[in-house]
Amino acid sequence: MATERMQVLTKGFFKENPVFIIMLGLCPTLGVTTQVVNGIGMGLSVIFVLVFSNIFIAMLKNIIPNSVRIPAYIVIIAAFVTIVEMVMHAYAPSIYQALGIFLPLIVVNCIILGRAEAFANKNTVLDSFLDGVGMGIGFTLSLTLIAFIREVFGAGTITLVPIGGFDGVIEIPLLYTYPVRVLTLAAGALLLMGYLKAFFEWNAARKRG
Amino acid sequence: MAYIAIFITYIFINNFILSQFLGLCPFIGVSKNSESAIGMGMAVTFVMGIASIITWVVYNLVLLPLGLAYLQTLSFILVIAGLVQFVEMIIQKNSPALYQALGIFLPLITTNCAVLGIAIMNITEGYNIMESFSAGIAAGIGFTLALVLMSNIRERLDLHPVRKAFRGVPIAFISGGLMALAFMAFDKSLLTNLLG
Amino acid sequence: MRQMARVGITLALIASIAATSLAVVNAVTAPKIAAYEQQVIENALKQVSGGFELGESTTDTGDEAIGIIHRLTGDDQKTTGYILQMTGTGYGGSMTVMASYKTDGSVIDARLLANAETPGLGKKAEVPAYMDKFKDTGADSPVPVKKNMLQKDDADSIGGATVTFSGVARAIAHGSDYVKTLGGK
Repeated sequence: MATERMQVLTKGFFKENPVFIIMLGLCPTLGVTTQVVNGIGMGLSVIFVLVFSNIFIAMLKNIIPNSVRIPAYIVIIAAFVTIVEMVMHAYAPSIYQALGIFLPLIVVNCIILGRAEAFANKNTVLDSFLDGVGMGIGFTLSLTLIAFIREVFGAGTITLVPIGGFDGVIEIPLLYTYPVRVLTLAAGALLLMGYLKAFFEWNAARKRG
Repeated sequence: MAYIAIFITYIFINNFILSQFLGLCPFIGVSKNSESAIGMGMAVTFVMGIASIITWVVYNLVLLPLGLAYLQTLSFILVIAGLVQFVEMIIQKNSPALYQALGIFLPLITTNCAVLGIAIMNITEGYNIMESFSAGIAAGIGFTLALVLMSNIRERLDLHPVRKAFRGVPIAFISGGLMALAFMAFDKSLLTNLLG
Repeated sequence: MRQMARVGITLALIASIAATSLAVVNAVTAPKIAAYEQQVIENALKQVSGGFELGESTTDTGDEAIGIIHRLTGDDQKTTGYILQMTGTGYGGSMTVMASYKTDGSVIDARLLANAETPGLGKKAEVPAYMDKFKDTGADSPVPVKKNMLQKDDADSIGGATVTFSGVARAIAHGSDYVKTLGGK
């Protein structure tokens, strides 16, 4: 039983990674990953929305009539997205600015509605919670990886949260002067995503033998 | 003049897929053959145009006067979901041929971020109702353009030997990246040069 | 029929609970957001004021691209310059530029505020030193609006972000012309 629970949690990290394996939620994956801090911020917002919408949908699964379940899910998801939006605007305004339109667009992030349909409306509250956390962490890991590559090579910096005297930006000597600029642009993001996906395919094929 | 600028901006300069990253899921998912790409593109353009008008009205005539601007996301997505359902019903009843062509794509449109994206952009850009409608249609045309180009590339790629790990989605992303590079030739200076 | 009513009521109930909870969160966060935005503008005003006192401000500018004018005064309450808050167009759409001028139209300092420029490219214009190339231009020498009007080092600092530069420069140049029409009032 315990190992099954663990699997519900960890399957989202790699085996069913929402970005690289199931290929959901691609727009924010490429749209916000120009800086590491944005990738993490987006990931955390999605974890919050995913966990709470999963919990509520699992709780209400017997009350919501089947014929209007999609609109009902959308209302629940949109409410949590707006809460994230308002809280972030108030307490983390610079990340709010950077995420821009992709913050309200979490509503239509296929991961969240996808998990509601595929998991939360058939499983218990606890399992849905674990599924939300696992999928959210998998999403955040993927975004951080993409953002890390794009920012390090594309701008020569690593932008994190400013703490105390540290202004939050690490400059990488040679790359800062001669960055591979295309990586910060739309074209570079698509190219990088293609190569990363090819790597995952190759890796999966290698494991199968 | 403003309308020409909106069309050029949303079709070429800020192409939703190739520079704004909106609507990537169908870009990868529905671009395997050009027939379905055209169908999806038309359905999206249609819904984006109408959704632009309705969300503009909802925001400016209902939410703003009542001081409920924070319900924007919630009401927009409900409007879009309802609209898609409604359009599906109308088309099914009145034009079976069109329904045959667009029907299977319609349910996918609710979760297409391009539609909610243009609705929110119209508000942040401060467009009036006609500008919103034009932006919706133009963004839809831009989406269709990228989708159709992509599907043609993928149809040709099917005939070529591609390394196993790159087959399918990875090579699609890389082709998309190269297309985005080409679209970078369209930037704001194009608009300044054309319209002064 | 009863089935339909049940469906409708459930959906309406969920929607109203959602709307109510949003209203509560909004009530908590709205003042915080307003205060922060005020703070950003005040900080920028202080930075560009060039050591002068901030006088009264007006939104009645008679110019679409200029949102607010703040008057700058010296020790004797006479107008020594203006701070303008303007909108320009960059690579990522519209952006807010704040610039301060002496009464003859020469630039004291400037800042790029809200913008959607590309990090690593246009975003670099947010660094205060970016605006050094505009300082003291606008009266005796024109505001540089093209890359070839700059010293080599300054031109290099723009890198690939020519669109951002010309957006910022055009806004600043427009402000300079506008200040000249005010005639020190």
